[in-house]
Amino acid sequence: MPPSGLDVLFQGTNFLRLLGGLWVAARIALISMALSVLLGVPVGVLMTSRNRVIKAVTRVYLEFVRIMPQLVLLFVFYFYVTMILRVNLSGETSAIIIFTVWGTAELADLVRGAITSIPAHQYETGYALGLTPLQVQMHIVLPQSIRRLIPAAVNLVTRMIKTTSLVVLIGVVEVLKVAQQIIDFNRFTYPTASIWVYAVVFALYFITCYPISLLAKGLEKKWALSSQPSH
Amino acid sequence: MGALVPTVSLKDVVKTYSNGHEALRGVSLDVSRSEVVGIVGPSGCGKSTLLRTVNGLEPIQGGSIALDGEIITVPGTSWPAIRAKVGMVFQKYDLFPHLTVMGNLLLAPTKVAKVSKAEARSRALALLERVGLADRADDLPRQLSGGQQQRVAIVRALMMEPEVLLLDEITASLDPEMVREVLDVVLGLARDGMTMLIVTHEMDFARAIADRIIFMDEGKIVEVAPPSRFFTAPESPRAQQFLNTFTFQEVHHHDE
Ligand SMILES: Nc1ncnc2c1ncn2[C@@H]1O[C@H](COP(=O)(O)OP(=O)(O)OP(=O)(O)O)[C@@H](O)[C@H]1O
Ligand SMILES: [Mg+2]
Repeated sequence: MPPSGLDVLFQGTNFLRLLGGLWVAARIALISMALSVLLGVPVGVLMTSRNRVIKAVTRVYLEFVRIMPQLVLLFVFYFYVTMILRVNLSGETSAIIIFTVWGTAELADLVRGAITSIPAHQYETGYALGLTPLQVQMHIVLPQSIRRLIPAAVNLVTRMIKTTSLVVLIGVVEVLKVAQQIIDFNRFTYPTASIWVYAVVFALYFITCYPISLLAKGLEKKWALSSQPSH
Repeated sequence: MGALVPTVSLKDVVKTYSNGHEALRGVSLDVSRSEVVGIVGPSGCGKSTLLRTVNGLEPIQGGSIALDGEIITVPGTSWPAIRAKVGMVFQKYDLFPHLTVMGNLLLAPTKVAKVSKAEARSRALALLERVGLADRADDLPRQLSGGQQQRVAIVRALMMEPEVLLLDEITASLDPEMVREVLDVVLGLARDGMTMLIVTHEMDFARAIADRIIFMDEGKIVEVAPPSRFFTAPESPRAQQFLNTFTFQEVHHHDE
């Protein structure tokens, strides 16, 4: 019986190495996401501004980051910007910077959407009760915005984790890179290894992202604000 | 004496929206304590705008508005303080969806009037009891029917113990079978002597509850009359025409 490709995974530290690669990917995603939240919330609030200049600048930033494929941003930054600025940044640091630039734009747009989705009559009802504009923001707009924002932001985390697979192309050894190394190393002993290794990588992504996306769905449902009479 | 000072008094109020539309073109109206004024008129005649000027949701461009004899349409007016004394309920059920019924009721008393939570709570429960919703205090708005939500919205306005209540077509977006339960609450308030300005398309209700009917058209008050006269023998042709839209001509079938 020819050796099964699955055995490759239990050789040496192969499986642990894959997990280590997954951790690199998750680390990039989580650090980028944390920074994106920190920067994206204020930028999102700015985006709701009526000031034309602020509106235009934030709009251009968002559109630019959305139109450019993340891979192009990664390449341009990792190979050229670092060269022009004469700085030496690791692939991982470059990836975190680019993902933060991207994540900040996406999160800011989510924040903007969450704030502007609060209907005008919610504000008016607050004012009519005697609340000040600040109290309306604090007790009515903000709590509702956060409930709308968090499920979408959690979804952004899964998008980030998935997009980290690109960083392999700027030399970061994450889960996909480890997988390729294992496959290459065992090319002759286990010719069918690739399918098994990729199946495991697929499973690892799934096991990481699925609970997060379930969490997002659960929060969305729990915090549903719409008024559907239940009778 | 105080009894002679109208609770709400509008003098030649002019409201021009920023697009140049003149929604109120010189409206004068005195509402005395415990009076219920029904405001009717065709769509777009300025009924909502009129109510919204009274609590400052719409700034006015001419004339003046006084509350208990004190002119409030002057620079420097603290609108939050005025609004705490003027309750308003809108057409759309506008409960705060992230708060329970009790949360909705406690927000303004505890944040604006600085009433203690315990005191506000017992007041809320008493009022909920009155509108038949004492058992729904911990529900979220989305768990209530439209009629129940609107009753909570009325209670929320009452929590501030307002001197006057502004009701803007509060049954217009309700299913027909829920209109009655909401109007009954308002009838109860009228009986207790609440001063109210009520905009409504429910003519039978207006007739039953109002001490006076104000008929508006194109930003002006066209006719003021007691309901018994307004609904049976309106004087202005505009009002006659308007009331005709609520009656149907009998259809005669000719089966020949
Ligand atoms: N924010 C606004 N900007 C410009 N015009 C407005 C605004 N709000 C209302 N209007 C206009 O002012 C006029 C009066 O509006 P208002 O809402 O007071 O009418 P209404 O009598 O309450 O009508 P309805 O019975 O349909 O509620 C209408 O012609 C309306 O289009
Ligand atoms: Mg209206």
